[in-house]
Amino acid sequence: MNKGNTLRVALRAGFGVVAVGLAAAVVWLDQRQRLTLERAEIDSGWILLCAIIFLALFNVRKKLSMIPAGRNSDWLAGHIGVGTIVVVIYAVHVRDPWPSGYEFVMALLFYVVMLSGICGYILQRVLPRAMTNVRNEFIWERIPLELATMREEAESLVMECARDTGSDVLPRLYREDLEWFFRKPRFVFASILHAEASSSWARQRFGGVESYLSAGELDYFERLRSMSYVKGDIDRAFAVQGLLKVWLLVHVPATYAFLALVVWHVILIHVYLV
Amino acid sequence: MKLSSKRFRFENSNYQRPNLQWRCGRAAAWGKPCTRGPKGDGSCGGVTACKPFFDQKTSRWACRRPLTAGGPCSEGPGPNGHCAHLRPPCVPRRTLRRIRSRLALLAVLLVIAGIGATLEYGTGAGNLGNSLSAGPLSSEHARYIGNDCAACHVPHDGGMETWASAVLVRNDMTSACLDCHTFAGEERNAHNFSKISSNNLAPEQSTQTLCITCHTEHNGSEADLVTLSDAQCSSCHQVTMENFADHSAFDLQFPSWRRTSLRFDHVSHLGKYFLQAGADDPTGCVDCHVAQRADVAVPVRGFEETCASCHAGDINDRALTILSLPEMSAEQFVALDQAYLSEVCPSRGSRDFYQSLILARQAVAAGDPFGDFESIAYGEGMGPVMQWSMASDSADIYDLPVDDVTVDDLSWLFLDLADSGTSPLADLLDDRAAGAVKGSVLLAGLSDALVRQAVCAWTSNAEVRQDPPFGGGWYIDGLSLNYMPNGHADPVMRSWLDLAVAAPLLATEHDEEDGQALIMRDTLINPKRGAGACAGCHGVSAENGDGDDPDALVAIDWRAKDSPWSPYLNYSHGPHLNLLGEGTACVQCHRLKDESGLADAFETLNPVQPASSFMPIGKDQCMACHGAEDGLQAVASDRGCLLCHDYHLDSGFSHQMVDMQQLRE
Repeated sequence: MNKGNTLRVALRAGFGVVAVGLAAAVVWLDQRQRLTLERAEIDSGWILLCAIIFLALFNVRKKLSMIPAGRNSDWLAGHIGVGTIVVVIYAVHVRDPWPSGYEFVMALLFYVVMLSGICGYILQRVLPRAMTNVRNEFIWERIPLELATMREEAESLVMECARDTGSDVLPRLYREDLEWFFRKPRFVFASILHAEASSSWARQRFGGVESYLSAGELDYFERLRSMSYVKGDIDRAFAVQGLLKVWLLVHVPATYAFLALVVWHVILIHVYLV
Repeated sequence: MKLSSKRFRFENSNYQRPNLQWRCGRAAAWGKPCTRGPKGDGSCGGVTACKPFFDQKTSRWACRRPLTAGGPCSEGPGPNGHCAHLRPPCVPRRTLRRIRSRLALLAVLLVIAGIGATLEYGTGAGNLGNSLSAGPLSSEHARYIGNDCAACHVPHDGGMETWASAVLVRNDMTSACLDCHTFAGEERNAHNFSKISSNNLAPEQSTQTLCITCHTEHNGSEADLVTLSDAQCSSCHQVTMENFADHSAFDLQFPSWRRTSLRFDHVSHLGKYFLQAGADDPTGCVDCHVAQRADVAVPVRGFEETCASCHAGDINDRALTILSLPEMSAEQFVALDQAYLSEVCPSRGSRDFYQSLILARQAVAAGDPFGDFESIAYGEGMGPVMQWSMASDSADIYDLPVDDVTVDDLSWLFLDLADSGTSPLADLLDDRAAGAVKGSVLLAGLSDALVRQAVCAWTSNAEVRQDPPFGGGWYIDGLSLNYMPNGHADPVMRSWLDLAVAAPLLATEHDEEDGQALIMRDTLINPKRGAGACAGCHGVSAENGDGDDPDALVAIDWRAKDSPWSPYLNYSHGPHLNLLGEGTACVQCHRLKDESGLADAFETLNPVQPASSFMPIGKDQCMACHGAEDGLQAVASDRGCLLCHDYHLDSGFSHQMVDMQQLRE
């Protein structure tokens, strides 16, 4: 581990200690204020709001990547750390896990944000490692191009085979099964759980026709089969990378809705109570 | 098969920025995307293969098709600069990022729309569909407040300006609470203390509290608004307790911090008087105390049920004298307007009167104060009530000159009384009592004829002798007008005694009156000789000072009242009666002393004297049950400090409260 990484790990560890200390301080302060008949929920509420704003700033930071405001990975570490203590502060602040009225919706959104965040964190820890087993690397945004290019190559290969050998075994295989297979990513959900889901399907199809091929077709056959395995990699990459992006479709909108209700909550508290 | 990493090079593929808002429609349909991609506004940018460039040097259009699409085409742009490779436009689709931002915007708009749409949905905190609702009220508050949010939240009915200012200005929710709730002390102080001075409190504790700190509303109709944990008590009270065994020892005088309101000596009565045979004598505590209404105290039955059989006669033996004839000198007697008196007193003209008048005039002519004139009131003064009424600094007037204010006032009073009966006396008392007690109440039942009869006789230097009327009332006893009470709780006698104890306070503006007022008070409330013998049993207490201080607020304890050790103590006798079995004796806890010391305690007006007929109650007596390892200890620990202590000081309600349910009905 080089010096920079050591410093980074130390900083993150320090940040974690501060975060845990902050959570403990909030719990202690809340307990003390409740005992001394003070408005504990006001202070814990403001601390909670500050923590939530810090969490929301992570999204802003990602959009404003041109600003030198620290590494994204550091922000992510902070996001995870503060996100964890926010759960504690929230529990201290609200006491009742299922309040009524608009606060019920607010609680519901908080839980959605919290659970989607936890899911996202787990996905980000698990799936990228799983992706290292994939033979080829694909960029999410370029998958349609990769797929279209591969499809063109596959169709060219099949046509060339038909011209050279005069056999229709491979063209029929392509028309009846592989054309569907190469059309778009397949076996998306199965690919999340099972890396070879798509390749297994292709292997089964190719295995069924291998014995009917002539010697001249075998070369084309092998090349097409190799391409189907790459297609399996694409399916896997599409499914896994898609999942890594799709969870944010829940996390981010729920966060904004929650923040909108937080603003309403702060207004109501100051108009009606404080 | 391992794909070449060179396919990512710029000449082989377009760079797809992750923050792009649109993606090619062909790619979205899993076709081959064009190299130019969508425009920023979401329209297709790939209708042509390139955007030709006009070269100024050659004055010709040049193809700019990128290498990823095969490089410059052989056809080249047309003469008007149009690309030769036209394609039908696609329908670009939003990228995932764009969808995410739209979803976020939609979510925010939904929240705002939801808030706006439900603002007017129903009314009241209990209507959870309203975005202002914080939850249903407790049943106690809902009963009186109903759906009127503004009853507690003043800005609720205000407009935007009110809301804006409310955000910036601190709300005073406690004031809203105090519209209905009342407390004996400082409402905003902890425990409603007027001043926190106990050394049992942690010094850093703030004395000001907010109602909503403990009484949290909007938690449903069944919510408990009054829970207070032992830990919260212990945050200020430095003696922390795990259970009742940790409670500090009770005071050595507990629970008798002041004498009782009624002077009843249990020791002498139980140990002496009740033993002297009598069919009506009580045989147990419940003969005098009403166990069915036992609370902080066990109420005492009325006078007629308890004391009358022995003490009824004491009351009808002590008359009140309000008016009397003082001894007058010959000159003072002559100075009376005898001509006018003869007009208003037709019965005058006896031989004795004229003889007295002649002797008085002879004495005046001789310059002798008395001569042979002999006042029938020889040796008599005005009496304390009359002296206070006349604001006279001297009870005796015979040695005063005729032009003295007191003599003059007395002459005019007698003339008025002889003429009008009771009304001059009522007016005089109204003036002196300054509204504390009405003169008409003080003189209730006193007839004009009786007053005229007395005054006409006295101004004739004669006396009238009557027996007290049967059943009490006004009568003339020689040289004085008296009132004999009609048994216990006689309203006239009670009014006079109330006036007597209030008189020193009424007289503070006239120093010379203080002494007269104090004399009148002390005469009337004298336990042995006082009118009606009221003060023989009812305590007279100066609550804010020494009884000799004219500013002391003195009052007569007309009713047996509770005097708990502390206003924060909420011990109730009720649950404890017969707890140890049917007929369990009160003496289980209340053990008689050998000597009560009550007589000494009632010698003064200061009620704060720990005199009692019973021995103090110690913590060990409570511990006998509440310290045991059984259910009773659980009862104590379940409610903790609140089992025996109240937080607030005499909490009550203002008269403004209206039951909404009854109002609707």
